[in-house]
Amino acid sequence: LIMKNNKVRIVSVNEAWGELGVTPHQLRFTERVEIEEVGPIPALTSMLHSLLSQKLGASQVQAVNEYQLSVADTVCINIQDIDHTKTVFISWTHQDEALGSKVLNIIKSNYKKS
Amino acid sequence: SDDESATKYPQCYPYGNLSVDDLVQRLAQAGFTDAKVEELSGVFIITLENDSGIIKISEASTHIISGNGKLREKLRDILLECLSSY
Repeated sequence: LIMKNNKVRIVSVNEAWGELGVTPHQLRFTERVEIEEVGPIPALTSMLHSLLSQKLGASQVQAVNEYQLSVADTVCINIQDIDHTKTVFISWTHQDEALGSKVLNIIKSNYKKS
Repeated sequence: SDDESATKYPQCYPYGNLSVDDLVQRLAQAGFTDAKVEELSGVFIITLENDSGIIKISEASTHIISGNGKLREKLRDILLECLSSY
């Protein structure tokens, strides 16, 4: 909500930054989850794709390539094999905290190595 | 759970410059006394070896990398204390 020249307007967060002349500080998070799952990376990517589609709705989840997924174009998921351990990196910004932590919880509760 | 407390919009919008010294001091107060700070062409990297967390600070952005949800939340809250926000 911006009040300027005796007028009140509702603008988007990004527009408000511009008008106020302040620089936003972007916060990004990357969480690393080691998971107990054998088999090739592409198979794991596709399993995560199905799981997230089921929990969040199929239109929300896109496959970027054989080892990367994207949720609602804001949460990035990267699946890697590090020293024979399958590791999932989930990355999101502070603005997308709600969705990011939800995705993290879904993956953790279904696959986390005990 | 985190799921239940999640709201659709962020609770605040941080802005302004981050003081690395201030952050390191607050980290130490919160018990992260092993923070190692490195600088490489204007980018600061703070490594917390005991907790396997990394904070990468550039001019207008900060990236928190961790393998532990609780650590991430703690680091996020400390970081937000160091920034102005509305």
